[in-house]
Amino acid sequence: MLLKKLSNSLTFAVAVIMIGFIVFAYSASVNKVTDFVIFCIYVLGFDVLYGHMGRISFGHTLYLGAGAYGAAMCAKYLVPDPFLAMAVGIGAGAALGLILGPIAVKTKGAAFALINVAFNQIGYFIVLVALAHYTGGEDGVSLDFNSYGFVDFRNVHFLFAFCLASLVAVYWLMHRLYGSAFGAMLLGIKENETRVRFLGYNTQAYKLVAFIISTSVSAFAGSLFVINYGFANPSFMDPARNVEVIFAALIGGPGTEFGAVVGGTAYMVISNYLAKYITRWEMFLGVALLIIAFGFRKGIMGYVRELVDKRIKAGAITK
Amino acid sequence: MLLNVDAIHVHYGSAQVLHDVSINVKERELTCIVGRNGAGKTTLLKTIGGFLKPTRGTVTFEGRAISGMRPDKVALLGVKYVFQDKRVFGDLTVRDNMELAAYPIKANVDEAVERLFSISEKMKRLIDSKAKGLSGGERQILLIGRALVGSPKLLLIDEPTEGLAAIVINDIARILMETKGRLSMIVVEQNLAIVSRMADRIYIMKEGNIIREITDEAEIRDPAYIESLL
Repeated sequence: MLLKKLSNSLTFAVAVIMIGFIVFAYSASVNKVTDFVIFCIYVLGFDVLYGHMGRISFGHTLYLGAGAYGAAMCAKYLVPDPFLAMAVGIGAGAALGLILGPIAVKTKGAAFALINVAFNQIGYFIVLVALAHYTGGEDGVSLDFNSYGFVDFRNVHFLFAFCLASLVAVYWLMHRLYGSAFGAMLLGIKENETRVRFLGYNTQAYKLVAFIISTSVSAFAGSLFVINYGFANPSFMDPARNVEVIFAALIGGPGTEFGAVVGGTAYMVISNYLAKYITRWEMFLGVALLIIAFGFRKGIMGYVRELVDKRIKAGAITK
Repeated sequence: MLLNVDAIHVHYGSAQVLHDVSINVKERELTCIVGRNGAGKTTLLKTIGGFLKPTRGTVTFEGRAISGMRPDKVALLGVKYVFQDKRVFGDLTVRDNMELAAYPIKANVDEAVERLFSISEKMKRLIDSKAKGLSGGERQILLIGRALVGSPKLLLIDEPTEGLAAIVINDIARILMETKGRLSMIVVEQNLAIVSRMADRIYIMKEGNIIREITDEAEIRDPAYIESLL
C-alpha cells in the first residue's frame, strides 16, 4: 500500500527532486547542477510530444534556441530584465509552435521527425547567417541582466533556487496535465489516433495544443540557459545537438515525468563527468543508445514502475 | 427516419467497394447487416461514421447531410462506432477509457462509469486496471460501455461477437438486447442465431450491394432462411 502511494505521489516525487538536486549541487557544483536542472525542464518539454503523444522530434533544439534567442534579443535590444526576457523567450517558443505546429502535427513517424529537422536547419541558418547582424552570428551575444535586491540572477545560489523552483513548477504542471482528460487523450492519440477521432475529438487541434505546450516549455529552458550562461550563441539551436534530449528521454523512460528528470540528470552526469576521463565519450553514448534500442526501451523509470507494479501485485496476491 | 443512406458508391482508390447502397434506420430500431466476408459491411459502417467519403450518393442523419463530414463531427452528432478489432486504449485504465469518451461531449464521468457497471458487474473490479489486461469479452463490454457514454443516438457496431467464447457471446447479446429500444443500432454480425434473435430489420449484402431487406418478423426469426439468402 505504502509502495503504491509513494509511486503515485506528486509530493514524494517533488521532495526527491528537490532534496536530490540540493544535495547534489552543494556536494558537487552549484553552477553545474543548475545546468542539469534546466536541461531537465527541456526534457520535460520534449517528452510531451515523444513520451505522451508518440511523436519524436529530431529538431527540438529549434525551440530551445528560440527561447534562448528570444530572451537574448529582449535583453540586448529592449531591456535586460530577466523576467521579461523569460516571457519573451517562452513567447517565441509558443509563437514558433503556433506557426510550425499546424504543418508538423499533420505528420507522424519519420515524417514528423524529419520535418522538425528541416525547421531546425532553417532556424539555425537564420540565427547563424541571415540575422547575424542582430544575433552576433557564430560569436553570439553576451548579456548582463538587471538585478532587484536579492533577486539577482548573477548570484549562483539564487539562480539555482529559481531554476529548481521552475523545474518543480513545470513538473507539477505536467503532472496535472497528464492526469487530466487531455493527458489521457494524448495517450489515446499515441495508441490509435483514428479511434480518438471517432470519440468526437478534433485531434489536429489537440495535437497542436500539445505541440505548443512542448515548444513553450523547451523555450523556457532555453531562456533559463541564457540567463545562466549570460550569452546566446548558435550552439543552442544546433541540429546536431538533438541527440542529447532524445537520449535523455530514452534513458529516463519516455512518458513519465520523473523519467524525464532522471534521464536529463543521467545524461548531464554522463556528458559532464565521463568527458573528464574519456576524450571520445560520445562513443559510449552510441553504445548506450544501442542497448536502449534493443533491450531497454522503457528506460529507467519504465523498469522501476514495472518493478513496483509487480511488487504491488505480489503483495495483493499474498494478502 | 433517423438515418438515411441513399444510393452511395464508395471506392478504395480505383476499386469500387459499394455500389448504389441504400439503407434506412428508424429511431430506436436495431438493424443488422449480414453478408459474407468482403461483402462491404464494414465499408458501409465506416462511410456512415465519416471515415470514408462516398463518391456518389448521400448519408443523412436526422435530416442533415453527413457524407464526407469528419469522424469527430459525426461522433459529436451522436453517432458512435464500436470497431471490429476490439482495440481499447491499452495503456489507460478502464476509468480513463470512460473519461476519454466523456470529455468531448461533456458527459459526467461518474454517471458513465455507473452505466458501465450496470451493463456488467465485473467491470467494477477492473475499473482501475490497465485496459490492455482485459480479456476479449471484457474489452468488448468496455467498448460498448464507452460508446454509450452521453446517450448517443446511433451505435455502429462491427462484428461484436467475432472471436469470442460462447459464454461471452451470450453476455454481449444480452447487453445488446438490454440496450435495444433505448437508441438506434446498426450491427454488422455473422452469427445468424444472434441476428435473428435481436434484429428489427435486416439488410443482406453481397459483393458491395444490398441484395435484400428483411422486415417481416417471421423471416427475421428464422436463421436458416437468412442463411439461404447469403
